[in-house]
Amino acid sequence: MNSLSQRILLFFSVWILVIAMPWWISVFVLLGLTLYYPFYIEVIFFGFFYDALYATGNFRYFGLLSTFILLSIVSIVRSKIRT
Amino acid sequence: MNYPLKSKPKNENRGKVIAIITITLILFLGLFLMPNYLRVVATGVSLPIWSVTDQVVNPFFKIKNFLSFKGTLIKENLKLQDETVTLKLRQMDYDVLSKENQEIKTVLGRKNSIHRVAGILSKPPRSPFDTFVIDAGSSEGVFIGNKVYISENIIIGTITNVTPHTSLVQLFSTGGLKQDAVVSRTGTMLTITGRGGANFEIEVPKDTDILWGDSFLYPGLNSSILGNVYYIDTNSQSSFKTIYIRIPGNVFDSKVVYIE
Repeated sequence: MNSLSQRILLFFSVWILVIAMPWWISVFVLLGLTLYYPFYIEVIFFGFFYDALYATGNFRYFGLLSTFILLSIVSIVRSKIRT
Repeated sequence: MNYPLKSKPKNENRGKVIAIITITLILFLGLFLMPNYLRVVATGVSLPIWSVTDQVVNPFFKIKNFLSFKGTLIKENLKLQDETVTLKLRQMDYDVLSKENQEIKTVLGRKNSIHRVAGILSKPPRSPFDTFVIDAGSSEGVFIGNKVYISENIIIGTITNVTPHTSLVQLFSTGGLKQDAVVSRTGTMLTITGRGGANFEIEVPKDTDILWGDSFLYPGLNSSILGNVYYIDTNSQSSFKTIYIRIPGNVFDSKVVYIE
C-alpha cells in the first residue's frame, strides 16, 4: 500500500472516529497526528466538520480557527527546529 | 571580504502557508455563507455512524453488569422496589395537582402547550459544545426559538438551528450564556450564567436569600425548572457568594426531548 492510499485510509478512519467518539478523544488523536505528520492539513477539515455539525452562537468558527492556529504553530515550530 | 548573495534562498514553507490560509478561507466562507446546507450534509454523513455506534458499541459498556455479585444485585433490586412504591404514590399526588393546575389554566383562558417528542441523535461528550442534534426539523414543524424540555417541567434549551429533518438544540448551560431565572421560593429574578455540562453559576451578595436546594425557574407562567442549587461557595473575606446550579436529572443520559 503506497503512502497516498495510507493517508486516504487514515483520513476516513479519523473521520469516523471524530463522528463516533467523544470530542476529547478526537482532540488527542488529531493533536498526535498533527505532531507526527510533517504537514497534516486534514486537521483543518476536521475542525470545520465539528463547526458544521455542532457549533452555534458564539462558537460558530471555534473548531476551524483552533485547528488553523494549531497547524500554523506546529508548521512554524517544525521549520525553526530543523537545521 | 564579503560576497553578496546573488539569489535569495528559497522559502520552502511559502507553499504550505498559502495552502493553509487558502483552505481555511474557503472553509470559513462555506460556514459563513451556507451553514444550513453544510449542516445537512454533515448530519447526513454522521447519521449512519451514530446509529451503528449506538446499537453496536454502546451495549458493550453494559458487560460489566454481568460481573456483579448476586448479593449486591439482590440488595439493589429490593432498594429499587421500595423506591418504586414511593414514587408511584408521589405520581398519584402529582397527577391530582397537575389536573388541578390544568383546570385553573383553563379557567384563566391559558391553552395547554403541546409537546412534540424528538429523539436525540448526538449529544455531549460527542459534541464539544453544549448542543444536541435531534431528529426533528422544519418538516416536522420545528422552528428556531422553540423551547426544549427533558421532561414535562424541566426546560433545558432552545432550538438555534433547523434543517429539514434535524435541529440543533443549544442548552441554557452553554459556557458564558446568560439566562434570566426566578428563584421559586422567593420570586427574586436573577441572571444566571452557563458553565457548561448542565451547570450554571451566579455571584450574589452574601445576604441574598438563596439556600441549598432552591429551584430556579424559567420566567413565565408555565414555571419550568431551569435548575436546582447544589452548592454555595462562601468566603469570609468576600462580600459575595457563588451559587452553583445544575439541571435536575441526568441530561446527557436522555434519549428523547420534548419540543414546545
